[in-house]
Amino acid sequence: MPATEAQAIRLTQQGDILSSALPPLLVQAEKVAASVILGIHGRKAAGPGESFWQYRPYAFGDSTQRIDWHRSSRADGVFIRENEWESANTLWVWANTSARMDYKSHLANVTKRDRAQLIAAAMACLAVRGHERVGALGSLRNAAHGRVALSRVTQHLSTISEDAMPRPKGMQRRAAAVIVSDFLDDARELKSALTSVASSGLRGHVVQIADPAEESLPFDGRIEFKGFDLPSTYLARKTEDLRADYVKAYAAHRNMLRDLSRSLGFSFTVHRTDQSAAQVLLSLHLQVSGRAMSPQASGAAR
Amino acid sequence: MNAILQSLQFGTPLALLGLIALPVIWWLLRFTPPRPRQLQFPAIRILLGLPNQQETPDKTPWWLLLLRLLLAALFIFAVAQPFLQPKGTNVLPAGHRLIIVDNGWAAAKDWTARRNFLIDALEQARIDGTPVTIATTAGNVPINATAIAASQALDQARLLKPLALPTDRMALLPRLENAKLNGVASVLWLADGLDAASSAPFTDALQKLSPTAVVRVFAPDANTSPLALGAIDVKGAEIKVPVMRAADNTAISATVEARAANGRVLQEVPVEFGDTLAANAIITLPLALRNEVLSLSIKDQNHAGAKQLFDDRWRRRSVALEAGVASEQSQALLAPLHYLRRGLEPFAELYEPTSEAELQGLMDSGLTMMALADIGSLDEARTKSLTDFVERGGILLRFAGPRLAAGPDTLLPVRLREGDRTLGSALSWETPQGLAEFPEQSPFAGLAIDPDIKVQRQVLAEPDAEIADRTWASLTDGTPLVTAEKRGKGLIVLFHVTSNAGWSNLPLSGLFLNMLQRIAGLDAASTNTSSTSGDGQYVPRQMLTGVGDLVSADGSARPLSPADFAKANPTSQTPAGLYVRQGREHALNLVITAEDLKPMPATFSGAEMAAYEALPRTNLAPLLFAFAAAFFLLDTLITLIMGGFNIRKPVAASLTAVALLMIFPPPHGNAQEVSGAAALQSRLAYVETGDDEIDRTSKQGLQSLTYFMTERTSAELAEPDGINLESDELAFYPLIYWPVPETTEALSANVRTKLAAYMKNGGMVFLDTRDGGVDLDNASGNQALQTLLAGLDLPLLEPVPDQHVLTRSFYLLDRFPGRFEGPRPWVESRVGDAEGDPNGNDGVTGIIIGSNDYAAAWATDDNGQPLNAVVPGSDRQREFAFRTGVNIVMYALTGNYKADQVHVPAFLERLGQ
Repeated sequence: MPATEAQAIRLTQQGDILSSALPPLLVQAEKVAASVILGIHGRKAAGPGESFWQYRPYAFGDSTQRIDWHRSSRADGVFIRENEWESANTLWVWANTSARMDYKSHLANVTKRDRAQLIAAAMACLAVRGHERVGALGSLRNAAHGRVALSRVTQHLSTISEDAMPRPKGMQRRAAAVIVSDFLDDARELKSALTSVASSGLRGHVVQIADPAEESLPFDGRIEFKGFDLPSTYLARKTEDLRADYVKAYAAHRNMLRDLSRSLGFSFTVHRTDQSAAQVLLSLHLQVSGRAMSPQASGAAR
Repeated sequence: MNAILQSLQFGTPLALLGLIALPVIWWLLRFTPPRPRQLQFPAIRILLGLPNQQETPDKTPWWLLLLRLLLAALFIFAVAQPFLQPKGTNVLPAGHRLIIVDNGWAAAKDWTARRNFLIDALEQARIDGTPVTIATTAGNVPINATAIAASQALDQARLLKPLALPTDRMALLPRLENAKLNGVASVLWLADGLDAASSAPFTDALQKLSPTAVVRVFAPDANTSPLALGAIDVKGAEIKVPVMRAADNTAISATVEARAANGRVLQEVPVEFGDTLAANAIITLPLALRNEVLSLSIKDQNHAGAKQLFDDRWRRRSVALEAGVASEQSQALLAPLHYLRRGLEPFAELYEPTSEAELQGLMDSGLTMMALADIGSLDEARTKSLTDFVERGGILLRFAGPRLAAGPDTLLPVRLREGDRTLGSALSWETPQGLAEFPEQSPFAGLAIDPDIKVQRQVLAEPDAEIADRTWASLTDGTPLVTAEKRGKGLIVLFHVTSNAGWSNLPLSGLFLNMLQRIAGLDAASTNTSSTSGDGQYVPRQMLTGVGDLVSADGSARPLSPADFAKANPTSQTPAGLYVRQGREHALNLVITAEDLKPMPATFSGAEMAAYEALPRTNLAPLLFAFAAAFFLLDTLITLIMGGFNIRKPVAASLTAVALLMIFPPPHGNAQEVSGAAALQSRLAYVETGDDEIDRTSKQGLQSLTYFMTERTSAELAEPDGINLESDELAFYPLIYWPVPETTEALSANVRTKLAAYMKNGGMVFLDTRDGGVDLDNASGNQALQTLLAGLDLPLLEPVPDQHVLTRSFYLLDRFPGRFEGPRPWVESRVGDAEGDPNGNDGVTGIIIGSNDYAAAWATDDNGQPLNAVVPGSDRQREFAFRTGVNIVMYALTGNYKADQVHVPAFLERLGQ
């Protein structure tokens, strides 16, 4: 699908541009040495890796093969050369690209889908630049390093899928997942989907994309509302009279989502399409790199 | 209410069938609710979860339904064209209705109204459902025996046209009887109002025709009865035509027009009736123009009776020429007929018969004049035929010559002496003679004598008692030059000189031409049209319509034999118009006498009289349509509101804005520029007088002067300002134009000081009294100016002297016109002040007082079109007004710079040495 490919390339470029202002993303690592796949960023500790970390005197139990004879010959003791522990984490990204996301009200400049794809792609870019492995949640491919992986991710992001929720399977534990969607789904479905993400061992970062019109219902008069994914319609005789109730219901839905995320240990970010994408990217960057943890989220992480 | 219902009628009642459709419309409308706006919305799940979901109706509200049904019903009723017409006394019995229309020339004047009335009557018949028969009184149109439906008759009526014929009502009666109309219930006679000696017997006959029928006669208002023209009478140069009116007609004057074939009006003659019923219009036209006359008509009386056609009998003369000398081709200028031919050509048809038979034929077909140039003796047969010709009314014009001098005959006005008389030859004591003044009774009277005309030879008349009466022109010594004698109905005229330049130079002069014209124009009516010996018929070429238009004759017009033509009257087969026989046009005119114009009696026994007045009819259709439209708008509005269109805010805002605009119009763009912006660029200024008219003119005038300056000079001035002397700073303006209003108050001390300082510091005030000629010497000069200048410290003034800088500061000017070509403006005098520096301004005047309303001359609109006419008014004057303005502004800008130019020759001389 050349169109999709072109779209994917464009998405990559946009993600690059958007993420260029931020430092490379190092996905926060758990303080467990469970990560077995070697990466190339150090953990400020000796361990498996390729770059030099320190020389230390030979101790009992060390393999003689690890003795650095060059260093030992210049001194009296026998030294072992230790490399820095280098490991890479994995960032999984997922953006909702269903028909429902293809919505732009008069108050916004871009559709929700565009924004969701952009955020996911930018996060992937950041991770690639931090030499993390990236992968698209829901794609059949494994996470991988480098631009190739990035291009696979953006390609998957730019294909339009009707899946409303991510269905991770056999994911690596302790990896991070950025889930971008409008989450205007049934509460029960949402719960089961997010729980399955959590139970697969991923640490989720939930980003809710909202069109300003969805928050405020800025319509007047007699309107027949039609859903994107639902066959049912709703006829409002005077929409302006509905507004207060609607706003309340919408807020309740969002609170439900926030509570759900927190209970699963996920971070929760809201982004409106009339706001700048850089803003949400910054906050996501902090969340994912573990530097700006909300008390609850850090508590959950601990 | 009942009466209203009774008088309610429908133009097209069948349209009411549409009301049957109303239930269907009701059924349709019930099931189509107004359509809501549709909107795709992602958060539909949340909307669906809202607790108080409203149930929308799927049916139209009953009141909206009612509104729409009413709208449909109104529309159907409106299409049915309802109208209110009180029935009252005008009701005619149902049954066969006979409508008789006078369609002669007398009806043509108000034909449109007449026909509309007929159409109304037929409409009424159609509504009443009665069959009709239409009969016309002019023309011989047969009548259908069977009555036709009124709707068919309507088509007939629309095609009905008035004819250029008199009505012949009695001739209609046998046709009516032949048609054997049965069951006639009512007879309507749309009369033309003229009696025509037949109206009373005609109504009687109508009543006899169908004794049970109601006879109603419609008579027009007598005031509007037509004027008519009688027969044309041409006497000499005068065309006399009687204009007649009916007794009741209140017209006191009329205008008779003579028109050419192309419709051009050659002359209009007003006619006053006074107390009489007829008055003569007398038209006098130069011969050449008279030949162009095609018709005489009464202005604004568009009917055939007010038109008389002119024909060849009164128009082109036919003249036969004959000369005694045949060999004339080689020397045209010496030929005896050359000058005659050239002189008569413009207004006469010339023939030069080569045989006796041809000449005889010409005489028979109406020859006007026979010209014989120097034919001596005539043989017996010629003498007889010519005598005949003259006796019947022809003009015989003869010229003398050697042959005539040798052998005179009887066809001469005077007896001639044998031989001729030579004046001014080598062997004569006498000198060539000029012409004397034409005698009073001569047709040449009034022609100017050309002093260059000299007669060298002539034939002499035997003096006798009658010679003075027969002399039309004579020489200065009293010998006759042109003599004439009436013989029978005709005339014999003799020129005692040749028709070429051999004996005199008379034929070379313009006078000769005029004399020939006068002779040819004589007694035109006396031409002998009674001749019947020619063959051929009078073929109709053009015919008059009832409204007096001349159109090509159609196939129905038949030719007339010469015998019939003389006594012919226009009929439907031989309509009034122009007929042609042997290439000559003859007019067949309507013969209308005062008798024909008698109005018909006011009442007839047994018949109802009625006026041509339409029944008062109130048409309801427009009202219903208007209501339907209003309902439609209302429905649209309701639909909009129900569809969610928020009508309140934008509409209310715009309505408020409109209302506010109407109450408080935006302020006139007259804001005063008091800030320092005025100082940034040079600009002219005018004093605001408070009179809007004057201020506007000042503004426009200075604006266009500024534009003119920019175009013509290198001075680029900014938009002029209006200033208030009290409050504004004057120093910024090089020149202040100050129109003096008619009344003004004295200046305040403050303003006086300001003005004095302004002028002292090099400013220039240009006062304009705008009256086109103030005389400052005169104590009773412009009062307002005196009031204004009172108390102002002014130097001695004088009119702009010839060498003043104002006369050459840009253009060289010797006058200073504005809107008026008034006197020169006044400036500070330099008399007795050789250095010319009375107030330290290098002799530049601080005040200019003009009077020619300069701003008005300059003022133009946005398109550059001048707004005020200049007096006396020429583009040149306006140009000079602008130049004056340029000079004044340049003077204000450059001071006495140009005065130095006086010394230029001296400088040049010095440089050259």
